[in-house]
Amino acid sequence: MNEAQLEQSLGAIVQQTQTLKGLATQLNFIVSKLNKASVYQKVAAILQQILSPLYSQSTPVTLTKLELSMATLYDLRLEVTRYCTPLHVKLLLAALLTQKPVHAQGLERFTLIDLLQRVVGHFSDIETLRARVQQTLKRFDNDVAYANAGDRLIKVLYPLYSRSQPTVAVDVTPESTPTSLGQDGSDDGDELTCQLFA
Amino acid sequence: MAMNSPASYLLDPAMDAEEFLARYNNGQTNFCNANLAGMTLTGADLIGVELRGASLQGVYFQFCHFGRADLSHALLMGACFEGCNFTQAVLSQSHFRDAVCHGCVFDRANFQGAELTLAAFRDCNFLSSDLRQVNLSHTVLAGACLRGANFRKENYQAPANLVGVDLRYADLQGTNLASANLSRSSLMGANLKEANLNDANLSHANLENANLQGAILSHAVLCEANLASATLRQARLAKADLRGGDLTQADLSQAILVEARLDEVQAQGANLREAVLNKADLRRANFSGADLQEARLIDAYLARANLQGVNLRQANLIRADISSALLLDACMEEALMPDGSVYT
Repeated sequence: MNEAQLEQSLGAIVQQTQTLKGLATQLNFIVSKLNKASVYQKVAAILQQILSPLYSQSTPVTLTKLELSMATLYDLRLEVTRYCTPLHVKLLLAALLTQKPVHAQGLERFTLIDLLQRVVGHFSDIETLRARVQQTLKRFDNDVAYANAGDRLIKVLYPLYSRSQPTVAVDVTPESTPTSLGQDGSDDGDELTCQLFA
Repeated sequence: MAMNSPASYLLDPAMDAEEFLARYNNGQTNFCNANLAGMTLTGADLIGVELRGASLQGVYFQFCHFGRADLSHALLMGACFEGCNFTQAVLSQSHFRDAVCHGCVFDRANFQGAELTLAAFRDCNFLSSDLRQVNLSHTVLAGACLRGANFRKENYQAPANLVGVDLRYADLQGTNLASANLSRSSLMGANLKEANLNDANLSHANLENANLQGAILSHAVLCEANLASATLRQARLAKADLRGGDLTQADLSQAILVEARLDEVQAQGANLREAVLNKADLRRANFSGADLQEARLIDAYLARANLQGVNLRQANLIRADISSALLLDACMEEALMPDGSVYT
């Protein structure tokens, strides 16, 4: 299991268990089914400890959606490109979504807003995003332009993620989904993955 | 200094990138009328370089910095710029035909009189740039940010030419596009919030899902325009011409449509709550299922309009001509009828 898969699995666990108590019950149930339960009990305890900040002490975790209007997305686009070129931001955003190499030409048919929307929809919380940004910047040899873009991205998204607390999953529901710039204006997540990140 | 002409470049062999950079790094900034055609450069710092009248045809520049550079009268046909920074550059009278710019910054750049026809500027920033008298006919500006850009029509000058321009998902919030010719343009999903489109020509334009909240569209021509699902809340459309347009599911709540031409528009399911349609011409328009609650339709002309299933609750229809309108299943509770009576 690689890091992305691990992250996805953890996200799924948190989504399925609404409270910390529910998580503990679920983990205990799984451990009881395994051989060498005492060994896995320790792993479960560590997992419970790590995941506990994601659960509010008094209220159950709700899967509220962060709704970003088109107006917000346009404001976000403006803010993230204040101190670097839009292409730097696009390359960084695309790299956040894939481990495969990304090239400027491959990004021409996707707007920056489209990529922003995908990133916000992909990362469940600001800390996960921040960690991924740090990790991705290494792929760009910590180039100052990309570092600027990453720093700006976290700064402008932080208030939006904070406002959505105690949200676990973040989803974007704009007034109208910004599409890629294909001839027919159609958009498809799988198609994007194939054409951009293949 | 002799004015550049395309023929003059034939006399000078193209300079290679190494020589150009070496000269610049040695302090030379004046490369006016130089021939840099076909050059490839990545990450070059060319701040303040003077390339007035230079040929940059077919160049490929990536992540280069042209801040405060002078590229006036430069020939940039077929050039490719990726992630380049042209902040405060002078690009007046330059020729960008068929050039491709992707993710570049042109903030506060001066494009006055430039030729940008058929050029592509995808996801570029043009904050507060000067685009007066620029030919943007069939230019691709998809995803571009043009807030504060100046397209203003000067006295005795032709209006900005944006015929067939591709502005899909472009950000034009608060931009002054008064009198601009945007006919047959693509503005799908564009942000035109509070933009000034007074007297603009938007005939046959595609504004589907565009945000025109609070925009000024007085006297604008929107014949046959596609405004389906567009937001026109509080927009000012007095005397606008929307004949034959598509307003299906559009939000026109609190919009001002006084004396507007809405003949034969398709406005099924549109939201016109508290809209002002006094003296508007709505002949043969299709408003079936639309919401016109508290709308003001004083002296409106609704001959043969389809108002089936319309919500006209508390609407003001004083002196409106609804004699031949289709009002089947319309809700007219507490509406003020043409003769001044309250509908019961």
